[in-house]
Amino acid sequence: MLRLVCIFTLACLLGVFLQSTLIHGTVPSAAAPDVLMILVVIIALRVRTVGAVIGAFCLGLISDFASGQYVGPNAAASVVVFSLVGAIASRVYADRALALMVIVFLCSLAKSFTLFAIYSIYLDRYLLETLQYTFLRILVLEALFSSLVAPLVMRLLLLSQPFRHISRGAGSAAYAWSE
Amino acid sequence: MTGFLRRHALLLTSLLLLTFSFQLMSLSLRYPELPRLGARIVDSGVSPMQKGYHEVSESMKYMWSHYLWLIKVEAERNELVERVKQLEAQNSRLMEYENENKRLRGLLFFSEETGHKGIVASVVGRDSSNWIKTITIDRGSDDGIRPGLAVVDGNAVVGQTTSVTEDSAKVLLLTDNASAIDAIVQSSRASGIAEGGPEDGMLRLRYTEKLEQFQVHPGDRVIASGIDGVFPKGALIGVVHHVDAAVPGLFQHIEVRPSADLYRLENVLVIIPEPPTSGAAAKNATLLQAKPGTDHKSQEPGN
Repeated sequence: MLRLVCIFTLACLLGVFLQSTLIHGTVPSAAAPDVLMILVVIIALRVRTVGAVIGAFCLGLISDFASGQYVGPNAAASVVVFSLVGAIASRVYADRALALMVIVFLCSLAKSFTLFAIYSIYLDRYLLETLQYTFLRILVLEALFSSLVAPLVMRLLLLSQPFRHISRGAGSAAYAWSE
Repeated sequence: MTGFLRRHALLLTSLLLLTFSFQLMSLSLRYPELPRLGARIVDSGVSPMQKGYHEVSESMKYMWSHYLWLIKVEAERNELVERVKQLEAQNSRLMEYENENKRLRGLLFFSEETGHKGIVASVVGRDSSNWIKTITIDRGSDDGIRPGLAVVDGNAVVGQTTSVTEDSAKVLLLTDNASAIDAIVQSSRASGIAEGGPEDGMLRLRYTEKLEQFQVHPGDRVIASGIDGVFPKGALIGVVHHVDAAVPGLFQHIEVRPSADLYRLENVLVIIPEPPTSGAAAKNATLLQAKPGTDHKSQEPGN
């Protein structure tokens, strides 16, 4: 259990590190792929347990902490994404890269809408007006970049022994990716 | 009951976590220290990796531009050409030093001209989300940095520090929606609040009245008023890009383009305020205002 927590914490920090350096440095646009959200989608596709939803929540929380502005919106959005993917995971054939890309694209849109909805509950009118433009600017671009990166993240994850073990335990066809 | 809980454990946990998230959002708005504390915890784990990445990428860039390039030249096996290329490489290195020197001089200019003490820091990371505009610098509380300090690039305002760890700090860029700086238009002395605008990389100067003596034109320089106690009076915020005085209401609609190139920041200066001494502030303000023709770029030596 402790080993799993350590691996998960390391993965979270690595995700934030990648997001804040390599990804934002490589993509010189306002939007960049959201690696942490991709992780949440992949976890939800493979493992649907109470521990996994808490893990997804923690991923969102770390994303919130990394920004240092508001705590909660990304955590809530991650739980929403996890629940959405969890609800359809058994009905979709997510072993193909294209299927994963479509799911990630839709989840990214769902996450952006959730974030905007949460902000619209809490923030004042002016802040919301400015965030509205950010929302429209990054909505499709972020989803597009994330969906393009998702198969790569999946392949990298399958190189990790603990993830292969978890995937096997969840009875998924994760091996279709590694073959 | 236990059976129900077990059957719907996933759904109940999700609902519980959602409620908890909303509680956290309320708490973070009520207690701004909470997100800063979280940021400090995450930064203490991530910033060493960011610094490592910064150093490795800089070394790689150096290796690529100075050594691997030369190997290609050697492959041509022409001694003369190789010699020329070596000299070019040396020249390129010297130019790189010169550029770095210019950048650092630009940063120090502000310090020298105004008498404010500052700490030069390198930008080692950017915000992980697309919603918040912050950067991470490689100096922290060990170097005397604390939240709420002004960060400039030359004389151009970059933002202010928010959360600080021992060896790194987060800087909220002036284009972020949450940023607000008390500003004045240098020519007409019209005052307003420079806030992060809806357009990417632009600011909006709000609460500038539609009076005749406060006419604002595109190209006018917008500077910090110094009233907010964070940014020194005269620090350049940006240049007026668009003015619409015909909008309904009491105030003009003014868009400002920031003077600092926020997408290509490499080094910044964090201003450490000194305890107030008699007449020092007035002297600093006079020094800056006496240079109406100077802007961020023209302050660099050689320009």
